[in-house]
Amino acid sequence: MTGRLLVLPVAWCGAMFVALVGGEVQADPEADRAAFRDFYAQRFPDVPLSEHMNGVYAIDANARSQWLELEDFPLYEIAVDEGAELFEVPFADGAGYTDCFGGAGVRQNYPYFDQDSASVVTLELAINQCREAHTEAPLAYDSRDLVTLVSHIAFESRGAVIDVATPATTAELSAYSAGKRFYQSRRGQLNFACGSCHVQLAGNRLRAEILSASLGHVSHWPVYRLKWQEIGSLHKRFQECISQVGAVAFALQSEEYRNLEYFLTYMSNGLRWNGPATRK
Amino acid sequence: MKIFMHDIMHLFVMAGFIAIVAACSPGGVSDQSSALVEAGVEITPLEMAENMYQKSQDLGFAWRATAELIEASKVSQQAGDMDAAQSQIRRAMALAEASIAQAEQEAVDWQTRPPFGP
Repeated sequence: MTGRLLVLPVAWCGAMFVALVGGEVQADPEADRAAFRDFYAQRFPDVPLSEHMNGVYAIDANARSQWLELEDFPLYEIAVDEGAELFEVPFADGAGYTDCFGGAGVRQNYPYFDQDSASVVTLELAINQCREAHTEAPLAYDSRDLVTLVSHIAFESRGAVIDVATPATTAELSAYSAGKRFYQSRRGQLNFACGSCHVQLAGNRLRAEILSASLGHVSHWPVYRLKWQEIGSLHKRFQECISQVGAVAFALQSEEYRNLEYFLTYMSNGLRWNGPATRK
Repeated sequence: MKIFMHDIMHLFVMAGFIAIVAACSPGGVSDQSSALVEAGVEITPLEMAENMYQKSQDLGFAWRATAELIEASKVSQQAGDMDAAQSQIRRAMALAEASIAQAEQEAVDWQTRPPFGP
């Protein structure tokens, strides 16, 4: 009888293991990227894929015309100028950001998967790693200084092609899969996944807004968002989205969001970096 | 066999939930008479709700409303409004339960959605 009682939980654990691990489809990033692009090519046959770097303005003509007018006097310009000044301020040890990055036009080098730390390194993380390597205090991830520095770097990198190396090692595939899983998982009381809005409902209206495609979602950050009345980071937008569906948001630069950024950036390979930008 | 095990699991989950709700009903929320037993240790319904919320957070699927209800119940308790506190804790537990169920569901379902799904 005791033996039978033991068999049940063991069998249940085994079944769960098979369902959760054995049943999981092996990650194939290249196939995923092809599927991602094909989906939007079919959904928006009149929109060149490269145009999705402009987000909803690629598919909403009315909003696009307003946005183009805003671009005459870009609201992010002050942030870019502030960032350019900060970039040149030397550290206490005499070194500066140039010693870490070589120059400001390096947006295209991030995010990448760092084998040593076995984690995704974003540009924000790299800036703080640079500071800490030169005995400077790291900047808060929601600080204006960090956002303006990233704005300057993004501006200097405009036109560079998004080219994240295809995840190949076990650790890279693990981070990629975690990002993909996050993107595809329904969360919060509204039971929405990122893809619910930006894949399945892309191009449809959610209240007054037309939902953008996820292709190119990462290309134009930081963004001066009219709703925020300030410039903010991609991860701040992740937080907002997660919160909007009724879930508890993760911390800026959390592993969850870095993996999500890694996945989304890889999906946008071939598009061009065009940050910073203005959004509603 | 699979169906049988599934039914047994459901019975356990339902029995647990009924026990929680039943324990919340009479008396004050912080009243020791309404304490529950978790892993052999007596805990209050509020602690139970917090534990369930923590579990949903550990799974990465916590809901904002759960946290808000738990905080609201603490305020109600401090104000001496035990009816409100009880109601808020009950709702918090129901939401935490739902968010944990969501996490379990998504453990598999995330793979089935476009554009990557079969």
